[in-house]
Amino acid sequence: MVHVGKSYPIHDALGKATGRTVYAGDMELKGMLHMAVLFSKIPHGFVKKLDYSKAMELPGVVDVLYYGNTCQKEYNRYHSQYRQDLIHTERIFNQHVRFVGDRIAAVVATTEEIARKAVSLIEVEYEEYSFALDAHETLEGKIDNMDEHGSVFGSIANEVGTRPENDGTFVEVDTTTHIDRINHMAMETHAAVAEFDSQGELTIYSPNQTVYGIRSFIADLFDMDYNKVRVVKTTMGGSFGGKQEWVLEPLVAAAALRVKRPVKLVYNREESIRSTYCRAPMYFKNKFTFTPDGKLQDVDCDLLLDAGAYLGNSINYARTLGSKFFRTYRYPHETFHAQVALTNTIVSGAFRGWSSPEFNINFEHGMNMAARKLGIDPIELRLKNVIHEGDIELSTGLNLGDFKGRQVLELGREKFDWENRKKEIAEFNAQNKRYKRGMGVSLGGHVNGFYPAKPDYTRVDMCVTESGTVRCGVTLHDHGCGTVTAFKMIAAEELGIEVDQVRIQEGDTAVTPQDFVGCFSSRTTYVMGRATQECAKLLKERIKEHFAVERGCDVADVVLDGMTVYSTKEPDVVYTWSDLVYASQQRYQHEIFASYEYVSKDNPGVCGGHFAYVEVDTYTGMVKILDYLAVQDIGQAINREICIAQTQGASVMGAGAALTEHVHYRPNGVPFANLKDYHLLNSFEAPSVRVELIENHNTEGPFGAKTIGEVCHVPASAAVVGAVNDALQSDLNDLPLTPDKITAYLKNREER
Amino acid sequence: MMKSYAPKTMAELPASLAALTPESKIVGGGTDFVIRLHSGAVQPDALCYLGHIPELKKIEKQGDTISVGAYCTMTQMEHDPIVREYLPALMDAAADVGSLQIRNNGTIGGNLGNASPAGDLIPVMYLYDAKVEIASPNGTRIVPVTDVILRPGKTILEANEAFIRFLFPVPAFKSAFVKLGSRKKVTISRIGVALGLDMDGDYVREMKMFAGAVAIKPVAFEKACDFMKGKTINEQNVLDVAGFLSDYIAENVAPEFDRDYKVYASRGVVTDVFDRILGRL
Amino acid sequence: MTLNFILNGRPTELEVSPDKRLLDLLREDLGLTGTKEGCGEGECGACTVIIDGEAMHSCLVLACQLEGKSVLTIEGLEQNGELDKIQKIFIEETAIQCGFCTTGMIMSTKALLMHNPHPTETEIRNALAGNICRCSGYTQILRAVKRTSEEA
Repeated sequence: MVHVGKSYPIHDALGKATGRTVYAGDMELKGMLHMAVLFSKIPHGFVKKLDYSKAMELPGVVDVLYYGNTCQKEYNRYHSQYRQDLIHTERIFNQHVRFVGDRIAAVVATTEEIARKAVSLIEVEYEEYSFALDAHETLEGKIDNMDEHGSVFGSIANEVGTRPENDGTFVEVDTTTHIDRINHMAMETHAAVAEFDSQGELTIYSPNQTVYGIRSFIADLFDMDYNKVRVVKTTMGGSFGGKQEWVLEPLVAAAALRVKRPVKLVYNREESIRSTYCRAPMYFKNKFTFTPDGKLQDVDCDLLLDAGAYLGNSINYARTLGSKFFRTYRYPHETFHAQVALTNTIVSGAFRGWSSPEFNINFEHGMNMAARKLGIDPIELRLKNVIHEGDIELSTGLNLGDFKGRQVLELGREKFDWENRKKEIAEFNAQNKRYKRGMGVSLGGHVNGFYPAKPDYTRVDMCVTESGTVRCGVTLHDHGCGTVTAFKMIAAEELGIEVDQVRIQEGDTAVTPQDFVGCFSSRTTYVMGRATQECAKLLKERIKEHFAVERGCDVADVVLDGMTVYSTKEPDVVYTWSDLVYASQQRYQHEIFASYEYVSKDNPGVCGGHFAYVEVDTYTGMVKILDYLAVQDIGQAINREICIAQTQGASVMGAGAALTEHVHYRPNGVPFANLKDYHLLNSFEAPSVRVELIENHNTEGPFGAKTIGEVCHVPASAAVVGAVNDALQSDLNDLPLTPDKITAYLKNREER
Repeated sequence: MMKSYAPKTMAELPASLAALTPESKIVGGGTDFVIRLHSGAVQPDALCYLGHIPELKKIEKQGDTISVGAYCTMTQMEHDPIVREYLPALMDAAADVGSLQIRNNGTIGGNLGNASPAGDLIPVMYLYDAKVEIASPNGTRIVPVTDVILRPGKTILEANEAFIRFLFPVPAFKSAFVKLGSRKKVTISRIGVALGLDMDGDYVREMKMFAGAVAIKPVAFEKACDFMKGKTINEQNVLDVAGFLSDYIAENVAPEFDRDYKVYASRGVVTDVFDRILGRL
Repeated sequence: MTLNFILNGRPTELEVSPDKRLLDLLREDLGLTGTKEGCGEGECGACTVIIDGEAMHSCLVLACQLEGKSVLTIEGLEQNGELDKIQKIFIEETAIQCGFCTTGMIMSTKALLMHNPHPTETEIRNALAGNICRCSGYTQILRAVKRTSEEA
């Protein structure tokens, strides 16, 4: 292949390197106003009195929006599809405030500074209610007054397979897991711009993962014709799942509809942490049952998921987590039970991997504890249970296809020098009192799109321009990870032209094809990429047909060569594509275009195996990652270096979640919402992540590709946690494993 | 409109200071102050910046005193040959402050002026018996740094006073500073230990030790220093010194300030500071 | 106050409140939006600019501190329409993904290489420790810096 598998810079790298790329927060529109939001300062209560007279008096203030003058229809921020069945509990502005950071009102003014100043002048009187900061408090009935739907949602339950007969030799392993709340921390904080024009059309600009989804949501919320809402995806400074639920979009829409001028809203970092959404805190209790020789027989898993203050996607999230049981290992039986509880904390929502990493953190800890109890090497135990090529996913009956879990583990074991290192570690630990070393492995499976759980299809349009270059319409939302470049590569590869001879416009409901699903669930490359490849094939046929008409020759004899076309019957008559477009316009009177609709028809198993080697300072509880290897079952890398970079970033992000990252709460319900307290791994601490890609080119994806952006994050945290537990011979799985937790554990152990 | 004063010479300084009110603020590097200013937590009527005055950016050795201008940055102290030779604990502390961008901007005057219990340079100032020269419209006065901090965020500085330079006597002992690890947990929780050692061969003749971030001001560990007199530096003795620190924390630090962690991690930071100073003996 | 300073090599005069952050002054008053706000508290490095040769957070510098100083922003790196070598190599080495950290990262690199044309990997990691990248895990960035120093 000419392009696929090579490395290209991201399509807008030049703009990003020079600072010329415009993100939503950089936008300027004529007559644009700025918005700032007043947030609840208490975790739970009712706004008895709101006095915004002083704010209105401030020069430059144009309007104050609050629950008394703004659409009060209830909605769900996760809503992105027409007639989606969801429980609606949230409003644009809320009088019954349910967490510190809940929206009460907003000011629209000529500058952001004035808008923020005016917000500080609004006087609020609250009636305070009792509040819950932990889901267990909700179960105890502490906040039964959250809303009419109740505070606890469940029970989600499923049972798959047949429980094997215990012959009396089965070994049971009981584990618990707690995962604390983490934030996406995309470097770009949340921002959105809206304008409402004289034809009654509302346009929203925001970094988001589905322009059509926002269109549906906004049109439903404000009772507008879907044709009167235009949504334009702006350059996205990272998402990681943080820009696929609607937080700022309804606010700017409400403001623009009222003031009939463009309105921009930018959340600062504190607001982005506190008032958008985070990955849900989760509590797991499990029982894993094995035969004495390490064959997994049964998993019983109980989950309590903290939804935060509004329901959002939490029920769906818990349910999705329950669907992950059979995408990595094969065993005969599983039971899963989940409850979702509201709390007076940051709303929970989507995060990279959409429950797969959380599932993996819990499950792989069970595998590690079982390996220890059974006296089997952790890689060996996984090899005994890993899914094989062509296995059937027990819960869905789906063929998992060319799943490379076994090869991932074996290659990782070799490249990580696992067996030799085990000896080195034993020697090191025997000689060292203060520092202890350990290794961890994690194998994590994921999906490529929604099939078969939900409809998953998309349309791609292509045409040849007068210059002979190709315009491609596909509703992409580049999160900043090179989707546009990858798609240009796919199209160019199929068409036999250069990458820069393909132009792709990102999601804009006025321009790009309808796609009701959005760039979610690792479907982009696998499903939309295949659609793009197929459309390119169709476009080639069209070019041949046009040439055959023009030259009166047989289509079967027409050959494409770069941006030229000729017939083998008269090889001296060569048209450039540009010539052919001209001929088509003047004589044939048809555009050279193709439109292709692709329906996803499978969802092969896909996985990553990650290996971590750590050193723990038992005096201070600090953990240093000495080596890290990620092996990914990728089918075919499209843009190689970006696939590697994605995997490295995902590994560092997962290591952060394992060791340092969490949004911590004060007892009064106020979170620590800043980067001083939320510690992201920096270039000094981040390990040099080695990456190996297993490429077998054997899927329905474009050129045999599978997904990468989420699956490479799935195994990361569990690998690091496993290594820490190996070093300390501990059973910790209360993430993040901060120095405090590690030293508290060591202290308890010393005292026992 | 907010007023602004930025004198360019020592001669202009008194007039600028005279114009300040109790609502005014002296700006150092700004690495902490600007965050509070931008959040609206402080709303001054005037800002005064003295970083244009060349004398306040100088590090000089005059006889047995080292003078460090109040606007010297962390980066400057980290690399200055005089600091590296005579005040290595100050170098350690400056080099370990935040990120490079913060070290390029944060100043020694600001570090003391913030009066943060976690101020990295303050235990080092205590270790070296530093004094600070304070300017006012009527002249200057010199006070020991130990007299400067009243409570978190509050110093003895009057509204129209400013730190202009720090005076460090050239120490007759070896010194080092270490703070606990680079990875933070929630809230600022690290312990900083400044250590001075005067050795007689392998034996400790005199020791000085101050710990930061365990109380409002750095805490002196005289008993630990007495304990080490005449002893050698070995693992057990070092752990015993750490015991003095962990006992202090257990008895004096409130649980919400990460007491349990600091108690446990004391031996880590004390071991590290001894290791560092051993490399300098 | 009337502020006189050098911006990207040009003497610049502007009327500004002394408590305005350099970041806001660049983005709002001067329309230079290449400098980004990622946290507003000196933790992420997205707003890094070079002041008198040193990398600093423009979110933590006030107008009243800037008189007479020389400020270099991402917009000032191109010379006669030519990208700075760092920019060119960041693009070539795939060191750019979402781009939001990129301008700050490039400015920190520029400052590092001005002081230390041939840094070791540890020196590079140390100099960039104040610039958070959430996309990449830093590998391509570190490689780009190393290559720039080798080709200088």
